[in-house]
Amino acid sequence: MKKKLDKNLLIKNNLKTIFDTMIPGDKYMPSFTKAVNVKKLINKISNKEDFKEIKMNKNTKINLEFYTDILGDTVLEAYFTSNLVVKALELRKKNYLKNTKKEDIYRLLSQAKYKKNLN
Amino acid sequence: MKIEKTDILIIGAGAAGSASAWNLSKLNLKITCLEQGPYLQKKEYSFNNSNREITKFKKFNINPNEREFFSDYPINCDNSPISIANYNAVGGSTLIYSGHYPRFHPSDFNTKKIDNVSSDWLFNYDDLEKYYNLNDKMVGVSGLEGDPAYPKISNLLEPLEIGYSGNLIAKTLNKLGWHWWPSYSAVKKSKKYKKGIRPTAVEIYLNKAIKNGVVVKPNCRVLKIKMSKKNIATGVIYADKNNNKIFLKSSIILLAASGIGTPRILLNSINKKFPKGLANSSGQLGKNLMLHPLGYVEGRFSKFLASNEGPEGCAIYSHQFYKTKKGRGFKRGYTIQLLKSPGPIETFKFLKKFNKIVFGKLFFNKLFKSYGRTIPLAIICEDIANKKNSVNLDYKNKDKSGMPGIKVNYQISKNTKKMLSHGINKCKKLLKTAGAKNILSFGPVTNAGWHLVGTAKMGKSKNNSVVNKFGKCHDVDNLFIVDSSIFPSSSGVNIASTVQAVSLMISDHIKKNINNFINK
Repeated sequence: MKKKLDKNLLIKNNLKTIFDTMIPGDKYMPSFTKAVNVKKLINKISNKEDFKEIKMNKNTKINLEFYTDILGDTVLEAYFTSNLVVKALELRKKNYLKNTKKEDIYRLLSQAKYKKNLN
Repeated sequence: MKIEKTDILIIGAGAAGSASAWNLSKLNLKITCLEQGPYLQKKEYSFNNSNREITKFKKFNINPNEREFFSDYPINCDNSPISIANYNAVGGSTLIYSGHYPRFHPSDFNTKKIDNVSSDWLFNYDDLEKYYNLNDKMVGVSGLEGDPAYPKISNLLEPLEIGYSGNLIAKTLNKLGWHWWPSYSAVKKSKKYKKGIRPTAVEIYLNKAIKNGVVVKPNCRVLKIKMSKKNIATGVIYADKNNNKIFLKSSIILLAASGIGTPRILLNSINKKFPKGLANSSGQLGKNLMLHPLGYVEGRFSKFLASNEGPEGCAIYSHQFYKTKKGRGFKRGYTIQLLKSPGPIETFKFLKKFNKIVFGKLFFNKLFKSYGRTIPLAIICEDIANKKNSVNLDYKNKDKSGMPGIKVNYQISKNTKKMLSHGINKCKKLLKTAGAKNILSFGPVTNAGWHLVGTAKMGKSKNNSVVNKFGKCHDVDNLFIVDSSIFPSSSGVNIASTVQAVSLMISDHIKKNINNFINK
């Protein structure tokens, strides 16, 4: 029993490192493990065939190409549907658009040169 | 075989079938609507789901051959550069459509007379206007009055935000002197949902029809329409979820199964009198398939534009090149639509396809060079009717009820190729003028056979058309087609608004003449 628990812990820690290597975070965006409940995610994916491959390779050096193939979709889906990430994207957007002005649609239409009836 | 009875039977609970179901539900008659797909919960297909970017590749994949659900039938597109997109469920393709909701132009109803292409409709824009207005009211269409491309369209809801990318493209179109207008969208603004609320045919029509007593039976696939010796349709044989075959008797039958599904049922309903398919004495059934070939041009900008936000289908559009003009080398024309750019997951997948992104240290660096910085434009080409473009039954590939699938035989015409090329060049010019650093373009887009038109066209004579002005099959008095199969020309705009307006018009005609049919 203890041996099984240790093994699961090892896989969990290993996966945490893999996830954060895949999506490390930046100035606006949180790292994967900050954004996603990894325990829940591992429970969710542990029965999948792909997960068995991860178990077999747990001691190998992190090979991003290998993990992209088997975990890519899972990582992207879990990360970009996280509330923390949605908020981070919103904050990032506000900062990037701070100095960008939008013109009123009616003003833009009043500047349209094409007035001829097209129908 | 079990036998059931109804007064009016509607086959298909999508955009067209739902509109007719609601319109006819005011009659004091027993109305049944059979739908081969399941009844999904609103939360599953909601526009506002955070995982919408994921489900569009899975449960809500537009390609039936990739979904392969019980409700899907095989569609063999080996002989077509464009594959068919649809969704089989209660609500049909409106569960996944973008909600871009323009009307046809008045000239779209007379392309034969004006340009000697396709065929003319047996009614015009003015005849349909009443039903466009009714449908807009039922749907709740956002937009702006005063578009020079259309006759006056009133009672629109407040237009949707066109976003930063819309601003940039609108300014550029002004600079070029080209027409543009904010999109007509079947999307309502909402404080709670920033993306707006996009109702489907279920919320717009079907739920109201059900309240009025219409019975909707999901997971029920119509296999054949049965005929009497007197040449009257007596009912249909359908298969339920457990593949039990049931005979449903009906006084009137309305087909609303799309430009692919409707000819499939008719072609499978052969009998001694109609060995080439029911209602096919003209030989036109399944022919003249039109698909709206789509061009795609995308510009990448150095500045972040939040271009991934805005209306799902179209923020603004241009009809600058909508009509025939001498010197362009092709007849009819196209719409340029400003789309929203993909979300982060789709952006990643797109970049990965070209080996331009990997997970790791540079993940965000690479992702944010594209995400929110690309402006995609779509070119929706008017397709010209051609008898060689057709659908027929595919006996080698059957659905899970044992009914033959569909084989699509479709080629892009020289006219369309020239139109696509013209559209792509104009869009490149537009994006370059707007300041795009890199431009990517291709066409026709393979997985974009959304708008299925023309396979049971309307016409005056039973020798060269399938239905009359009111969608009634020339060959069978109590059999109507209320979907886009009957369109004799395709226009250069999305068809949902016209599909529903036509369905309302035909069902109004049936309502007014109901005693003629029920007495039979």
